[in-house]
Amino acid sequence: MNSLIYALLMLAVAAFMPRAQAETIVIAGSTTLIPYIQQASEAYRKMHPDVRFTIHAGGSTAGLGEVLGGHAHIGMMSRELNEKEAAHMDGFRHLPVAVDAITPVVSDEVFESGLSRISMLSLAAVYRGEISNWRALGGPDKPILLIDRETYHGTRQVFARYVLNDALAPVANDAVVLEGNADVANIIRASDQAIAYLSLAYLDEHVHALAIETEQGVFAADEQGVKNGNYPLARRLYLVLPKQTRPAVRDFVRFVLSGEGQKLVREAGFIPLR
Amino acid sequence: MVHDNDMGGMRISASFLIAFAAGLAIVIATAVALFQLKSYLTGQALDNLQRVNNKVAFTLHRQLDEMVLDGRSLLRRADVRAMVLKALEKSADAQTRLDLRRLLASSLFEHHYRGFYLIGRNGRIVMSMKDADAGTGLPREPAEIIRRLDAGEQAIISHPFRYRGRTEMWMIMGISAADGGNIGYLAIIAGDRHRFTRTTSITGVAFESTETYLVDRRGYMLSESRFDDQLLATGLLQPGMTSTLNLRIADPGVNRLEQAKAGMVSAQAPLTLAVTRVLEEGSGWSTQPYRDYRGVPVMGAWQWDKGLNAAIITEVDVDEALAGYVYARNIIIALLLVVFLGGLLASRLYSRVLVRSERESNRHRNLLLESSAGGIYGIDERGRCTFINQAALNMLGYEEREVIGRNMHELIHYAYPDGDAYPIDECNIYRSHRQKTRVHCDDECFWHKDGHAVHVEYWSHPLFEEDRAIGSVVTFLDITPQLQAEREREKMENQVQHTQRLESLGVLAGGIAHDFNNLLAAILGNASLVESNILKDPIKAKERVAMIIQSAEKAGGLCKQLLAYSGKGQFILKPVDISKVVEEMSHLLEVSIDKSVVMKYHLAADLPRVMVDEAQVQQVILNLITNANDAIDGKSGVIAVTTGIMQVDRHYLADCYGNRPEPGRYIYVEVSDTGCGMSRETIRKVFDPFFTTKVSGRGLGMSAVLGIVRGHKGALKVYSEEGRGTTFKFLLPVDESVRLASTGETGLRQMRQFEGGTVLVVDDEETVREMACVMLEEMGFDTLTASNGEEALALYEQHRDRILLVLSDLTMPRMGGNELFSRLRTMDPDCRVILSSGYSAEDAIQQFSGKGLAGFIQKPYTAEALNEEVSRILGDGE
Repeated sequence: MNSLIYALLMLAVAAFMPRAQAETIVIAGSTTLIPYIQQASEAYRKMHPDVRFTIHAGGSTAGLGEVLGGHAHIGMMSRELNEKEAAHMDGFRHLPVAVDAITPVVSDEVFESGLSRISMLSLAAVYRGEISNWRALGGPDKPILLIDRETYHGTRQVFARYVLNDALAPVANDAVVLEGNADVANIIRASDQAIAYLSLAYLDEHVHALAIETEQGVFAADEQGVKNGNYPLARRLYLVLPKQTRPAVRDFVRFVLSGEGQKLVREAGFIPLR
Repeated sequence: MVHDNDMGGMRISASFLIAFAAGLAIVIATAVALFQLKSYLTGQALDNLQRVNNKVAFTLHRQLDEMVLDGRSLLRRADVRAMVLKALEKSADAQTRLDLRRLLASSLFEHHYRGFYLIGRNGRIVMSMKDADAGTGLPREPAEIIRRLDAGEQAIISHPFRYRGRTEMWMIMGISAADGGNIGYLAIIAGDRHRFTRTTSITGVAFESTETYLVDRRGYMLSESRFDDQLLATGLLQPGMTSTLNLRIADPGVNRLEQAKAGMVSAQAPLTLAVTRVLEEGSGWSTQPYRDYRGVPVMGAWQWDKGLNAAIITEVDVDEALAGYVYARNIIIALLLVVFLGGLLASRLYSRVLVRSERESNRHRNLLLESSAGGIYGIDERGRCTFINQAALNMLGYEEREVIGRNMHELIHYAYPDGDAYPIDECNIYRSHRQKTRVHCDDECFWHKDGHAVHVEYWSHPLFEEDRAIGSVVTFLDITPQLQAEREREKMENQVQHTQRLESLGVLAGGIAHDFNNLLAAILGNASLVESNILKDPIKAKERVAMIIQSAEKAGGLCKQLLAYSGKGQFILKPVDISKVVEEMSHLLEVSIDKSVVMKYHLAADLPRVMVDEAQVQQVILNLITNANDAIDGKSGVIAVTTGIMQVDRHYLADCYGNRPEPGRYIYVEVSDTGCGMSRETIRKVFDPFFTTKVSGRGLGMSAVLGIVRGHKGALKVYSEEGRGTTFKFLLPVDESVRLASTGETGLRQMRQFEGGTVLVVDDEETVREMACVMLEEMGFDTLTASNGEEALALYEQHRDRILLVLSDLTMPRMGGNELFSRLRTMDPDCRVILSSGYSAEDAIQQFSGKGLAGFIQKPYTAEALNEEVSRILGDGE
């Protein structure tokens, strides 16, 4: 009887204990990372239901700014820091969490016509507007619908730096300029003549990657190519966070870097660090 | 033995009833409170559901309005409209198509649409993002919309529908020609952000289980279920299917979350309550739980939205809606349980403590009862035994079981000591609880089991419960041994008295023999002188004869007294004046004491007579005086014999010897000597038979005295100080009847009456002064009073002609009797003054001798004494 009474007393005490305070982690930045961060946060919430996430897109640059300005706990970046930015990183961490590759993508009809690779020079020519029909590349006789991204996106900067030798280089002015990766993927799916560049995470059965042909050879944006460093458009994806931050934030980042977190990296379509 | 009682049981059951009632009240109050809480929370949940439902409706309209707005603003653009019209009119070339696609794409994809279809008047696709679409027909849903657009509507958003393997939603607008009719249509393909799910999954959800979904007229879901995972897991959806368009909102009959893998729900299954009601009645709600499409009990609110042509249903799992209630209920139940168990534990501990302390106190009580040498038993109001101690059982010869519950009067108290039946109605013991009084009795007996009488002294003490006597406790002592001892002592005392008498006779005889010897010597001497002178000198012989006669008479008187002392062997009570007895014994006493001892008598006159055996009283006095004489031991000393009457209270009697004398009026004889006194030790033993301090004594005198005193229900008090002397005070109770009778005989002693004259009474004590005045006025005097010497002097000066006498106290403030006397004598040498004082007359007379003091009277004085003194002073002639 005594143990029953103790159990009931414990129950009563537990009933009156204040519930744990819910924490919200604000994450902002690169749209490239969003699919992964969403999956990671959902997985993390299953273990820590008291933690909530608010995730904004906005691009790598904006994500860095939000963290530096103290408006977000974690910034997502799909590119390296430039010199200017690196100067502001005192007290902050620029933490690689995954490896990504940017790959040229084309619509079903183009891919199905047999076009599966493109040389770096051709790609540059297409983006400069010097090539405007798929026929010139060995594809169907269709004008090329050229898709570009806004210049503040990490993906665009990485792509432009490699392909056009300048992160902010302009492209042919009849290109359709879009905001997010998802919109780019949508237009590739909807069209039968479009070309764009996308993160590995956005590839699917209607969004086809083209291998890149360089002087060194032909490289596909696969794990092997990326990991052995042969694929030219590989990049690392980063989280930015203050060195002094809340325990819940630190714990989430630890989760991202853990084996389980890295498994999700692959599920999201990226390549894990290890 | 004291046993546990029924009263305790009754108390416990009463408190149990109270506890039960209190518990019932708590349970009822809790149930009411919980019911209130439940209906409050249900109301809250319903409010919440309706708010969410309305918000979803509002947000959906805004979302759809935005789509329409997007489409319109696109069509309103001149470049777009121009190219669209161009494309509709004639088949556009590849570059034109690319341009239009670029134009539309940069707007549409940026707003998250998935593309467009330009539809010709004929209902066939003219152009889209893909060349392959050109010329294809429309599915049923958009075709229907186009008919509605032709009927006059501007823009219509379709429900989701299946198209080329995908679930799509189109917003379709008519493209009007200049004459107003539609020349074509622009369909914009909604992206994820424009789906119903976009709103239902964000605005329409809350907490863990609130969800909002849209249902078409057929009962199919138009949005995406929040619980797709559960639906897939429970087999309500096939893998790869989404709930949109595939899920019929039917009641699976059981909670599928508890019975997973039961497969798809039959197409004939009834729709859920929400769908049934929304299709029949439009808006509504249910707080009564019903099963949703998962079979989970929910409560819900719904409305039929005409704009959407769909039902908007918001539901929440009952478990979650009432989680607060369940939580509060569980806490309250837990608390109640804790309180209940705590109370149970506390009451158990308490009762254990109670039982232990009761056992302890019972043990103590039993110990007390059993250790008592006296018998103790208790009876209830009907006289039945409730407990009895071992001492009582031993005295009465019973076993406990033979007594408990039995009527004690019938068992042990049924007859008086003389054997006469003792009716129960007269029982003294029962009187104590009948009359609520303590009863004491020492002349009854209890009857032993074997039939012999046990003489007891008992006390019966009533027991009360709230003013009601519920029984008595009887305590008793077996006084048979005491009675026997008493009888033996009486016998002994009689013997002692007898022996003593003989002994004192011996003492007396010695003295008397001496006297007789002297008398006989005188007689013989005179006789021989007569013999020789009778012829020579007959006159001288006659003188001698006269002396012989005188001596013979003396001897005769002596004999008479001797006879009076010894002649009464029997105990004969008769009314006697003690002063007279002492007076008559005086000669006898004087011969019994040493010549160096002075006898002083202070004998009160007119004492009430007491019923005594005169001879025994004489012996007491004789014994006391003989002892006093022995105490003086041949030296010079005084033996004073005083008689008087006094009122005696219990306190005074406390240190008297005797046989439980009662308070009242007593005649006393006090014999005090100036002898050697006695130590405390001696005083303690003085009445023991054969105790003596004398060389030749036999130690029976004082025990004989005490025996006689007891026999007369009298008392004896001893004061003694070593070296100073001893006083024995022998008290005899006044028999009031005798006093009355004797008053008739002697109370009429005449007081002398005087004829006028004034007496000045001086005393500082008013009562004394007034008493003296009353006495003097009774004698026939007038009185004047003064409270001190000065006043008295003034009064005397004023009334000296009238004043016969001055009666003055000796000790007074301002001017005492002493000074007053000398001042009065100075003023009037013939002035007659009587002084009164608490000092003895001897002292006063000594002090004033030769100074002309007329008289002295010792305080307190009686009327007779005053009368006597006044008579003496004023002389017979007055």
